[in-house]
Amino acid sequence: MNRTRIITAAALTLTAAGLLLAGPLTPPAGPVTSTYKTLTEVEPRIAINLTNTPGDANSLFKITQPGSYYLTGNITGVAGRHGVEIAASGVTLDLMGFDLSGIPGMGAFDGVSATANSLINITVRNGSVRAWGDDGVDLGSNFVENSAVIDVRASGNAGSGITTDDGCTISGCSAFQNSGSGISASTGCTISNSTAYDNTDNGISAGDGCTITGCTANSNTGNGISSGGGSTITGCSASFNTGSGISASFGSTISNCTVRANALDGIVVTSQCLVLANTCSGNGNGGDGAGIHATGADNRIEGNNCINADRGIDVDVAGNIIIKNTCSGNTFNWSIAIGNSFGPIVVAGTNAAVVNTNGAVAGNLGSTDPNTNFSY
Amino acid sequence: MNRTRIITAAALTLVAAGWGGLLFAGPINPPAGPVASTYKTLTEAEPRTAINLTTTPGDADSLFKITQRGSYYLTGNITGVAGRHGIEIVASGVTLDLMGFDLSGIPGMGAFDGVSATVNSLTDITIRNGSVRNWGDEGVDLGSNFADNSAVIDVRASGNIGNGITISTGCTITGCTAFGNIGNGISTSNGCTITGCAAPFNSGMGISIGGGCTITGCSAYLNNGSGISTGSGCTITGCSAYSNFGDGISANSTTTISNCTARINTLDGIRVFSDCLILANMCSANGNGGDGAGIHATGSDNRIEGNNCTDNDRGIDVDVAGNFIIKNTCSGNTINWTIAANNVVGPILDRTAPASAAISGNSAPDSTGSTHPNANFSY
Repeated sequence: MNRTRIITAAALTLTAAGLLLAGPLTPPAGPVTSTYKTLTEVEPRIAINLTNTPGDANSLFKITQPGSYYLTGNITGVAGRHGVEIAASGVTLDLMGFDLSGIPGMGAFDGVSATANSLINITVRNGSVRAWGDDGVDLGSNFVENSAVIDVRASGNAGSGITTDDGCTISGCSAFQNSGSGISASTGCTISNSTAYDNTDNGISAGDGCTITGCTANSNTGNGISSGGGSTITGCSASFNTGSGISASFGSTISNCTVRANALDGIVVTSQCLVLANTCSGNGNGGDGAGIHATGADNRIEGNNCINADRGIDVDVAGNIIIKNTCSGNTFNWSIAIGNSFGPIVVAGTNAAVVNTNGAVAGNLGSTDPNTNFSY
Repeated sequence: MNRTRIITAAALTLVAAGWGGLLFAGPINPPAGPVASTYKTLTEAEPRTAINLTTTPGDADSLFKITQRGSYYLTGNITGVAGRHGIEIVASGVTLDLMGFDLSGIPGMGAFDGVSATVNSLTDITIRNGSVRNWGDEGVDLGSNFADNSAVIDVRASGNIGNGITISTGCTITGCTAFGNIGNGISTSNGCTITGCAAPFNSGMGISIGGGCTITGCSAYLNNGSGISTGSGCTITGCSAYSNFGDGISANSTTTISNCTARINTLDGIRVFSDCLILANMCSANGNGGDGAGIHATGSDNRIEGNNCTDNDRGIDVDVAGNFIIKNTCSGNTINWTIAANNVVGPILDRTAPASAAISGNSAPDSTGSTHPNANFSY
C-alpha cells in the first residue's frame, strides 16, 4: 500500500511539473506544422557587435553593408575611435534606446559617423549620443543625403549634436550642451518637433531652402535658430539665447514664432524676408538687441508685437515695408532708416475709464489707417 | 523497508527535479488559479509574418508576394532581380514593416517596383521604415492600381527610375524623403496628407499631389520640375520650394497656399490657375535662369493677399480678368506688377522712393502714402 501511494504521488508530481514547464498539452487543430519562429525571424536585424560589425582603426563598430542594424547595449567610447561608423548606403541604425557615451580626451571622433563620401538613405533613430569628441551623430561631414535622424538625444558632444546634409529630415530630436550647434542641417531639409538647449553655438542651424516647424531653441550661446535663404520657420520658440533668437537669410518666411529674452535680436533678417505675426519680448537681454531687426532691404515686417527690447523694430537700410505692428516698452519702439515705407506710427490712446458694457464703445487707437503701426 | 526507502527517495528526487525545473525556469511558487502556461511562444513574441520564400513566395513578376491581409516584416535586405518587383501586395489590410532594411534594384531590371500593390483597388496598406532605391520603376507604388486609404511612413526613396513614392486616394505620407528619382519624388492621388517630407533632386517634380490634399511642413529643393505641384482643392502650408527648375509651387484651382517660401526657382515662385487663396507667402528671386514671377495667376477668381514678392522678373503677374489683389508688397522686381484688365486691385502705391525721415522714437507720420485698407505697395 505504501509503495503504491509513493509511486502515485511521484507520478502526480511529474504530471504537475510537466504542465507547469512545457505549455499547453492540447495540440492545435489542423495538420502538424511549426508553431514557432526562429530567433532570426523574431529579430531579423543585425545586432551591432564585434562579430557582425567589427570596427577598424578608427571605429569601435563599422557597418559596411546596407541593411538594418540595432544596438544591444550601451557603447562607451575609446580614444581615437568613432562609436559606430557607417560606410554604406541604405542603412538603418536603431539605437534601441541605448546610450552611446564618449570619454574625455578621446579626440575628434563621433558617436555615429558616416565616413564615406556621398552615402544616401541612412536613418539613425531612438537613442542617446553624448560626450563624444566631435559630433554626436554626423551624417553631414561626408555629405550623406536623403537621410533621417529620429528621436535622438544628443548632449555634451565636442562638435555638434546632430549633423545632416541635403534633403534630410530631423524629427523629435533634442540637442543639449553640445560644443558646436545643437542641430545642424544642410540644404532642403525638414526639421520638426525638436529642441536645442544650451549649446555652445547655434541651437538649430539650417541651410538654404529648409523648413523648420514646431521647434524650440533655448539658452544657446549662438543664435537659437539660424537658417539660410529661402527657408520657412513656423511656430517655433527661441528664448534666452546669447545670440539672436531667430536669424534668417535672404527670402525666408518667419511666422507665428515667439522670441524672448535673447541677448541680441529677437528676430534678425537680411533681405527679402517676410516677418509675420511673431511675438518678440525682452530681447537685448544683457546685450543689445531689437525685437525685430532687418539689416537689408525688401523685407516685409507685418503684424508683429515687439515688447521690452532695446529697440522694438529696427531697420538699418532703405527699401523695406513695415505695417500693422505694435511695440511697447522698448527703449526705442521704432528705429527705422530713411527710405522705408511704413504705416503711420501712432501712439495709441488708453481708456480713462473701465469698460464694462455690452454696448458700443468708441475706439481709442488714434488711427483708422489699416496699416497703422502702434506704440502702446 | 529498503524498498520503501528507495521508492521514497526516487519520488523525492522526482519532486526535487520538478522543483529544480521550476528554479531554472521561473518562480517556485506557482501562480494562483488553475494550471496554465506561463510563457509566450516565439510567435507570440513576434506575431507578424516574416517575409520569406515560405510564407510569401513570389511569382513570375515578384520576389515576394503578400496574398493575405495581415502584418508583415522584412528580415533582411532585398536585392532586385530583372523582371520582378521586390515585394508585391495583392491583398487589402496589409502592413509591411521594412524594419529599416534596404530594398535595392539593379540596373536594367525593367519597369518593376521595390514595393508594389498590383491588384486594383486594394485598401488599407501601410509601408514603413526602410530604404527603397534604384528600382526600375517606383520605389513604393501604391498608386498605379489605386490602393486607397494607405500610408507610407519614414521611408527613404532614392534613384528609382519612376517616382520615389506613389500613393492613391485618401492616403498619408509622413516623414519620408525622396531623392534623385527619375520621376517625381512623391506622387499622390486625391485627398491625401503629406507632412514633414523632403524631396530634393528629382527629375520630375519634388512633390506632385492630386486634388483635395494637404501638404504641411515640407521642403522641395532642386527638382527638375516644380518643387510642389497640386491639383484642385488643396492646402499648402509652411513649405519651402527652393531652386527648382520649374515653378516653386504650382497649384491648379481652389487651393490655399499660405506661409510658404519660394525662392530662386527657374520659373514662377507660386503659380496658380483659378479660385485660389495665396496668402502671406514670401517669393524672391524666381525666374532665376529663366523667366518667372513671384506670384503668377493664369486664371480668374484668385485672391492674392498679403504676399511679399521681391527680385523676380515680375512681382505679381495676373494674366486674365476676375482676380482680387490686395495688401501685397513688391520690391526689386524687373516689373513689380503685371495685371490684366478687369481685376479688382487695391491701389498700388509707388513707395520706391518714400523719402521718409529716419525714426528713433515712438511715433512717426505715415510713409506708406495711403490709408486704404487694401493698398498694395511697391517699395
